[in-house]
Amino acid sequence: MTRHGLLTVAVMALALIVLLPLALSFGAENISIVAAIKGDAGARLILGVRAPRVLVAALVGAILAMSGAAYQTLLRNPLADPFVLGVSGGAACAAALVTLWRPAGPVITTLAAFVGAAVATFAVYLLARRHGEVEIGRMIVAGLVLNSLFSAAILLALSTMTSGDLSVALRWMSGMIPVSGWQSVTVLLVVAAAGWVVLQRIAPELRMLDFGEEDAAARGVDVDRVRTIAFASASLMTGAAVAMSGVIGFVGLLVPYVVRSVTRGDFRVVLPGSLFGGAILLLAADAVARTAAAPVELPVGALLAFLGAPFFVTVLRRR
Amino acid sequence: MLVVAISGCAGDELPRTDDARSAQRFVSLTPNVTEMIFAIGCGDRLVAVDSNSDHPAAVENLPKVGGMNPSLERILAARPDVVIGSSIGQYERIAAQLESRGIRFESVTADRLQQIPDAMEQLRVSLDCSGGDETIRTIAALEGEGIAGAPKVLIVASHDPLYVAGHSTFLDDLLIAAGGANALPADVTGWPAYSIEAVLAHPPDVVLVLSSRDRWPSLRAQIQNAPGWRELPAVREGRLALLDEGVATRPGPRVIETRKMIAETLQRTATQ
Repeated sequence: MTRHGLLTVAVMALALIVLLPLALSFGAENISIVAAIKGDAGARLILGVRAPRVLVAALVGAILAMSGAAYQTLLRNPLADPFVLGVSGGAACAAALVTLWRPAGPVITTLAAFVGAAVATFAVYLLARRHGEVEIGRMIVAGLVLNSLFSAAILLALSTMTSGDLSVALRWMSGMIPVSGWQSVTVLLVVAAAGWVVLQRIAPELRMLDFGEEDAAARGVDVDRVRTIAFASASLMTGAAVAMSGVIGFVGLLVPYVVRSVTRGDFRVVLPGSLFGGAILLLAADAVARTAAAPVELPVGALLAFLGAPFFVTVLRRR
Repeated sequence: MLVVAISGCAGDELPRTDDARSAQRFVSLTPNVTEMIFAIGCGDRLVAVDSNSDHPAAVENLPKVGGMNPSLERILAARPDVVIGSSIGQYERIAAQLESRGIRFESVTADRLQQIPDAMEQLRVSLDCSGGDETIRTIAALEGEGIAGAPKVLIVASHDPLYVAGHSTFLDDLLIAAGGANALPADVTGWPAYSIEAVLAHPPDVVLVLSSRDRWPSLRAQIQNAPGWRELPAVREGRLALLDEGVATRPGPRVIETRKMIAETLQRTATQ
């Protein structure tokens, strides 16, 4: 890891530490954190709802950005991300179908989302790969096809449902950070930490894949093993994030790309950089979603699309 | 599909001939219109209804023409002379298709409480029906004025994500008519996504949740344990109640029943 890369990651980590209390002090209601600490019951009540939500936003952002970094390295493609690939769509589809079939708890929906994400990952990989290479055009078309298939499945299921179930499905499709308890924070924290550790451990080998699979194999990398671990981790992470907040696009695309441009580093730097960058981006976007039209809330997924879509076009044109 | 639809209608009564000028075969495209037509005494002239219409019980045996996006084929198969929609749906294209085939299309607006008696009156004239005087009078008299000290009520359409009934909705009108007041700030209208923080900062006296009777026990338990909600005094102290969505989401004659349900809930929670 270069000194420049390490320094960038350290600065991002520091920025996140500064931003967390800042995000905590902004919300639909004006409260003072100092008052809450001093024991003001009203301020404590609000903070008790806001704090886990802020952390969930940061963790979902970190998880999506790390998954994006993994997909971009695996597919050797800067436009790969869970949303573009249809992986988030697969996760949301599976979670929504399970919930519509019978109201399920968070564990079942997370598992369903993971299965949906894994199926989509496998499908997009098969469809986009040709002569051992993942072609950018094929990948985008494959993601497009999968996304429309998954939303069609949700819409089809919805059209047979009664109005009471609509709000449940809305949750997966609209991309909103939910009001969460500390249990959700714990689950996401475990997923984020485990995903980071696993991916960081295989980072040196994953980096070798950049030179091509044959080269990597020649340098002693067990390509199949590394690829399977990376795909499985990225799918599990995406599944956990989507089960929590629905489909939030472009975090996994934008963050690793920017981190890679700034650090000019490889996956070993891009991964932790994406972790902190993703947390910062979604933390900020959710703060806007919570406050811009308060007390009415905006869907954070839609806000990010306004940022992400022009970015996607810019990157596509540069290539 | 067409064959099925036609054979499904084969047993229907033929058009009456006693008054050839007035419309005899109606198709309703929304549940509240179906209920209005029954209330003004013309339910027997409905030959098909939309798939969401489930009241009164007599609609059960009528052919269904689909939900928010009704099937033109099925509507035509019912051989109607008037098709009636409401402002809830978007029926411009269906209306054009029907009118080009010489079938009259009519739409009523019932987004607010005071529009419901007008809509029923409009249907009485245009469909040549004469019943429902008392119902129309009762609904017209429902409109209430805000009472000072009325309990502040939050009407929840979905608790996670949180969607609420704001001001200027027919449920807000009914809430006022039932002696309550909307707990939301005056500039929040329609059915927006809403911040739980704002609910906690300005806690309502009563929380009404739109749900079916079947789902309510499990939904209530969910809300009682949900972060934020469990801290709300109304939830902790048992002023969390069901607003039966099968009745309360219909801006039609049963608003009388909805107002009564809300009033009874407010009475019960006030004496707790």
